[in-house]
Amino acid sequence: MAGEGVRPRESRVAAGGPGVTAAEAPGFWLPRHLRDRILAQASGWATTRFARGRECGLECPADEPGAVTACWPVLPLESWTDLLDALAEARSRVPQGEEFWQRLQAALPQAAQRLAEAREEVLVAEGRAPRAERQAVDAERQVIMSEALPAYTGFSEAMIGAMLATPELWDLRGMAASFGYRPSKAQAARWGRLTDLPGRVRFFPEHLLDKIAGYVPVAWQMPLFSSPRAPELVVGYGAGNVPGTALIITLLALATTLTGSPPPAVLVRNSRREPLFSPLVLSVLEEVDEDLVATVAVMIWDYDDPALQRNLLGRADLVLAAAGDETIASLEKALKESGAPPAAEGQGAAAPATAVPAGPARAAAARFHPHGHKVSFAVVGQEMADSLDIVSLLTALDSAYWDQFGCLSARIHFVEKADPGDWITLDYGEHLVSWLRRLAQVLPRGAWPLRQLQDTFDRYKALENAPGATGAVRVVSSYEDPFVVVIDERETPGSRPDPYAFATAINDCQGRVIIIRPVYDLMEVPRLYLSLLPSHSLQSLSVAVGRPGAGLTKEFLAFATACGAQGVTAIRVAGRGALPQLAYSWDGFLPLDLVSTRPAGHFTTIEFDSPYEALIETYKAHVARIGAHHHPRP
Amino acid sequence: MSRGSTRSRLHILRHHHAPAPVARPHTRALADFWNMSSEERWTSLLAGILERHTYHYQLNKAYRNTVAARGVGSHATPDDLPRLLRPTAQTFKSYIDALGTPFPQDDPRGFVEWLADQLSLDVSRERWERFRSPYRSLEKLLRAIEHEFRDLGLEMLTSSGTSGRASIIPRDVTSTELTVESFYLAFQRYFGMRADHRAIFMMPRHTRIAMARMARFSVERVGLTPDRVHFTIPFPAYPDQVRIRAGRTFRMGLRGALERFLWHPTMRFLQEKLVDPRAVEKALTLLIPAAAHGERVLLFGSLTHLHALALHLLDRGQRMRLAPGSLVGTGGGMKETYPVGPEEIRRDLQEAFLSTDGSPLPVRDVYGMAEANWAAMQCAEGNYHVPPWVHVVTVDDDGRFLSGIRTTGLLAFFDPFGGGDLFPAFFRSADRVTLLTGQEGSRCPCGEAGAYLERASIRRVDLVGEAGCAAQV
Repeated sequence: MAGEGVRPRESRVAAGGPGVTAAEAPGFWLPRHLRDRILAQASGWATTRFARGRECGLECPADEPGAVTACWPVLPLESWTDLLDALAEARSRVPQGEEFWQRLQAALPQAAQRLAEAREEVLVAEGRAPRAERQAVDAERQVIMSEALPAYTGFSEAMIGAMLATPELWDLRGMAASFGYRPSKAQAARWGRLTDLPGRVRFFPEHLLDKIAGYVPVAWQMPLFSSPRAPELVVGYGAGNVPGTALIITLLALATTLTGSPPPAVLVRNSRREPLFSPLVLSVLEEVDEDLVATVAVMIWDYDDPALQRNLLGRADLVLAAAGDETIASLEKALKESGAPPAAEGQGAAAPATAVPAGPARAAAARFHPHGHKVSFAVVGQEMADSLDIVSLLTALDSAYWDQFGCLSARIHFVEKADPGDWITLDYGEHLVSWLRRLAQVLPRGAWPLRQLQDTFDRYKALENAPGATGAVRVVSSYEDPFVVVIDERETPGSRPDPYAFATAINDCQGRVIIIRPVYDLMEVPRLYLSLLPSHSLQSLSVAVGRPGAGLTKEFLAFATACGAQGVTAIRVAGRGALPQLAYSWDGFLPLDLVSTRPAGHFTTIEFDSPYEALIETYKAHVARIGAHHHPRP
Repeated sequence: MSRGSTRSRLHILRHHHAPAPVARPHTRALADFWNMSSEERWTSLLAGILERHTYHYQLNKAYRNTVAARGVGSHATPDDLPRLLRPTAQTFKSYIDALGTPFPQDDPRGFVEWLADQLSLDVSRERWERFRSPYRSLEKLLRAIEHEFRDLGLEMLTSSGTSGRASIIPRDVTSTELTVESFYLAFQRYFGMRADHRAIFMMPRHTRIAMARMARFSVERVGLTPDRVHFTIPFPAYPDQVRIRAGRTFRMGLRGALERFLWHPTMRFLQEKLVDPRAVEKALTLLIPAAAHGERVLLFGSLTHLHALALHLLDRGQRMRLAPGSLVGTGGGMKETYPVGPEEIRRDLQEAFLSTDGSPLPVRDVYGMAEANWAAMQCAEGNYHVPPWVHVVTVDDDGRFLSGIRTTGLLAFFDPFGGGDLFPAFFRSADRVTLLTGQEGSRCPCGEAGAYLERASIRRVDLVGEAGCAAQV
C-alpha cells in the first residue's frame, strides 16, 4: 500500500532521493540537471513495501521480515509541466542521431558491466566522483542489486545477475539498421530481409484490402510506412512482472534519434511492483555518459488522476505501454479523453504522420503502441532427436528465465514426433528435467510459493492416474523439484485439441511449469493450437529446428507464415526466448513504427538465418556463461 | 456443556459398505473433545489422523495416488502430516481436468468413474457402466447418481459455485450424520440455539450448496420442529441455475448463447425484481409475528440477502425488535460487485435488528467450506471458534506447517473423527487466516478454550494475484 508523507533521507545513488539500505531504495529517476529543482517541488513522498515479491499489507503481512521500501516523490500538477518543459529543453543540449546512438552503444555495456561487478565487490574505478564517494555509491548499488531487488521483486539474485551478465540484452547494434528498413506493401505477401540484419520480416495486415495489396504489382513500389518523423515527447508505461520494462521503453524511445532528430523527451511511468531496476541502470548510465539520459525521467504517478493523465498524455506524440490488458484499455480511454484520439497501430486504422507542435499541447493524434498480456511457446523439431541434451538446455532456459512471469517465457513446449511409437517426448522430458535441476542450482527459482508448484504437480498426477488414463499424461518431475514437467499426450497428434484443456494448460505454465505436447507435424502448432487463442495474446516462439547448413527452408518459412498469420510476432532460436533484440519485432511493432505510421497489422520477424547454426551458437554462449558466472552453490 | 447423546456417540469406522481393511480404532463422541486436556486431545487426534490415513490409503484411489506421489506410504508418521493435505480448490473439482469439461452431465460415465476414485468404497464397474447417455442438466445427473447409490444414502453436494465450476462433494449417511452432529453441537455451544427457537433461513429450501443444506439439517437436529424452520427464497437453486446466474461459465454453441444472452440476464432480472423482494417480504411475514409473540429467532442468510432485509426496514424508519436470545447468523462469501463492505452491512444489521431491551441483536458469522463437515462459529468477540475435534493448522507458501500460538497462513485441517468414511477429511483451504491456538495466554476473550481464527483475518487467496501479472488466456 503506498503511503505518503515520508521524506527519505538523502542519498548519493540514482535519483538523488532516498538513502539506500537493504530496506529502502528509490523507485524513480531524474537526470542530474533536474533533480534538485524537481524534488524541491515535491509535496511529499510515497512509499510502497514489498517482501519476496509480495506487497506488504496486501499480499503478505504488513510487518513481513526482509521487506524493502521503494519511494518516489509526489509532485503537484504544475511540477509535471515543469518537468516536461525541462526535459524538452534538454533535447537541444545533447547529441543526436548516429552520434547519440554510438555513444549509447558504448555506454550501455559499460553500465551493465559496472552493475554486474557491483554485485561482487565495491569498485574503485575511474570516474568523475572522488574515490571515497564512488566506493560509497557502488556499495549502495551493490545493496540494491544483491538485496533490495531480489527482496522487492521476488526474483533470485542469481537470476537478476544472470540477465545483467547477458551481453545480448545490451546489444543495440541492430537498431540503426532496423531504422533503415523501407518495405513496400509487398511485404505483406512475402518474407523479406530487415536490411542487413540476420533473419526475415513479414507484415501481416489486419484488413483484407491491405492483404490483397501485397499481391498487386502496382503496390510493390508503394511504401508501407509513411515518412519518418521523430516524436518530441514519448510517454511510457512499464509493467512490473519482470525487471527493467521501463528501461526497454526508454531505450526504444531514445532510438528515435536515429532519424536524425534530437532524442525525444522521455517520461516513463515506473511500476510500483518493480520500480528499482530501471532507475539503477539509468543512474549508472548517467555516470558513464551524462548526456545520454538528460532527457529521460522515470517516475510513478497515479493512473487514476485524470487531470494529470490528461496533462501528460495530451502532450505526448507517442505512448508506449507495457501493461496488463485492463491498464491498456484505461490508457486508450485516457488518450481519447486527452484531446486527440489515439492511433493504435496494429490495432486499428492507420493514422497519418503527425505534425507535432512545438507548444505544450499536441494537436494531432498520439501514436499508441500497446503491449498487453501475451504468451509464448517453444517448438522442437523431430530432427533434434539426437541433440536433445543441447536443445533441452536452451528450451529449459526459455522457461526458467524470469520463472515464466515474462510474456516471452515459453509455456507449452511442442515436440514433433515421427510416429506413435516415437519416444522423443519422453526423452525430451527427461532431458528437460535434468537441465532444470541443474539450472535450479545456478538460476534458482524466485520466492514464489512452492505450493503452487505442488498443487500443479498434484493436479497432473491425478490426471496421470485418472480413470481411463492410458499413460497419456505423465509427470516427469518429482514432488520435491522446484519445477514441474508434464508430458500431456491426451490429444492424439493431428486431432483437434480441446480448447478448454489447452487454455488451462497454458495458464498452468507459470513459475517453472512446463507441459510438453506432441505433434506429428510442426504445422499442427499454428493450425490446431495457436488458432485456439486470440491473436493478440500470442507473442513469440522459440524454435529448435533445422539441420546443419539448411538455412531457412521453404518448409520453415511456411511454418513461420502460418504462425505469423495466427498472431505470433517473433520467432527466435531456442535459448533466446527471453533475450529479445530491440531491432526486431516487439509485439508486432518494428523500431520504424516509433517514427512512422502504416496500415493496421503486425510484423513477424525471424531472428536468424540458419536455425541449426544459431542454435549451436546460442548453446555455446549459454554454456560458457553458466560455467563462467554461475557455479552451483555447495 | 452438551454431552454426546446416544445418537452422537459415533463410531468413526461405522463403515457398512466394505469390510474394513485395518484395525478398527477407538470410538469417540465429538462432544467429548470439549472435556479433554490439550495433551489428551492431541494424542487422540494424532492417532485418529494416522489411522484414518491408513484406512483411506488402502481404499481411496485418488488419495493414495496423490500422497504416494509425494512419497507417503500406507503408514504415515507425524512428520508426514503436511503431505497428507489435499487442496480444497482442486480435490473435488478435479473432474473438470479428468473429463476435459466443466459439464459432467455430458460424460456421466466418466464422471461416475471419477467419483468412484474419490471414494473409499469399492464401487463395482457395472454401476458406472449404467451411466451412458448424457443428461440434460447437472441436477438430473446428480439425482440419477443419488438414485443409483441410494443404498449408501449418497447425497451430492456442491460448493457455492459462483465461478460456475463447482466442487461436487459426495456425502453418505454416516458423513451427513456427522456433519449434522458437528453443526448442531456448534450451534448449541456458540450460538446458544435451543429447540424453542424459530429458524428463518434467507435461502432456498432446495439447494445442493453444502453449507446451506447442513445448516438446515443441523437446526432440525437441535430439535426444531418443521413448522419452526422456514425458508424465504421461494425457488429452488439447482447447480445449473447457480452457474447460469453467476454468468461466468456457459455451455458451448446455441445452448451457451441462449444461456449467456437470454437466461443469464433474465435470471439476474428476476432475482433482483422478483426473488429478492419476495424473500424480504416472506422474512418479514415470519419475523413480525415472531416478534409479537416474543419468540427467539435465528435469522440466517448471506450478508447480501440479510442486508436487503435490513435496508428494507431502515429505509422505512422501522426496527425489528426480537426476544432476547435471538440472533442474526451470516454465512458464505460476498459478491465481488456488491457495493457495500461486510462491516458496513453488519452495522446496518445491528441497527435494524434489536433485542426487546433495545440492544443490538448479535450478528454472528459462520465460516465453513463445502469439503468440511464442520464450521467455525463466531463468538461475541468476533473470533471464529474451531470445534475441538478438528485439528487446524496454518501452512506457509511452501506448504510447511507454521508454528506458534498466533500464526498467519493458509488454513488447513484434519478432521479424523467428524470427517466420515467416504474420503479423508485432510484439506488445505484457499483461505489465508490468522490462527490462535488458544494456548499459553492466547485464549479468546470470550472465555472459550481451544483454537480460533482471529476476527476479520479470513481472506481468500487469489493465486494468480500472488504470482504477479503473467498473462492468463
